[in-house]
Amino acid sequence: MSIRVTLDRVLLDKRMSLTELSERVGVTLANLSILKTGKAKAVRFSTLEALCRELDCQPGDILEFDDPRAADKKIEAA
Amino acid sequence: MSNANTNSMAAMLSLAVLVIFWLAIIAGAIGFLLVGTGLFGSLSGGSVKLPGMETYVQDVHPGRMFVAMVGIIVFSVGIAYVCRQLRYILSTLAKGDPFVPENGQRLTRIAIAIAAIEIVRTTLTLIIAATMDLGESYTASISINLAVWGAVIVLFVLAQVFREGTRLREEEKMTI
Repeated sequence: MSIRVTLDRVLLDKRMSLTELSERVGVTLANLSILKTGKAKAVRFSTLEALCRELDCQPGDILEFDDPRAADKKIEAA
Repeated sequence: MSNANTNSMAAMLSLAVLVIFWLAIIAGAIGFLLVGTGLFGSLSGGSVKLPGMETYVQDVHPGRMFVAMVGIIVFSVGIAYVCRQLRYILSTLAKGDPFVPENGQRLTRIAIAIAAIEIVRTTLTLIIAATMDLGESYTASISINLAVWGAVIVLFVLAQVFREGTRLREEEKMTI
């Protein structure tokens, strides 16, 4: 999937463990783990809101769009 | 409907399907024996001697017996197969999660089995009508059973709906 979850980076910056975040946002550790490893298929706005609130960040800090076409264009240009 | 109600309903339906399964097997076995005896009798000059009994088969074409035997085998095996698939589906319902990928395939198999039974029935009727002199007392009429074909179409649609339901369920599971 072209959407990359960078939750681990934000957690490292905030010096917060996944277990602590799980307790704060009220999402199970298993589900947060699915999100962190990029296996999740969708994120609810309510979850995103809770994550941003507890991590004091913006949605863009947690999610990144990795455009595969951009990578192809770079290869073509080179 | 509550989970307990669903479980008890699934258990009751499973029991009913199990009864139908054994009825199909027993009726098939009895029919096979009777028609087999008749076939043997019609092939061996009209009478069969078994320990303690003698059976007479009069004016019955052996081909008719053979066709009846094929019909009995296909019908009883087909019904038993459909019942088995239904019991698998009901067991997933009893466990509380019928939206598993296998159930879509099982519904498709049931639809194919019912269609196969109907095709065999029509084919056997065609064979009887085309090749055998049945006399005035019996006429083989070819008919298309719209109810059966309607059920087959409904089952194919349900199988597709199940597949989509399973996909949505999987997506829901992976939504955080």
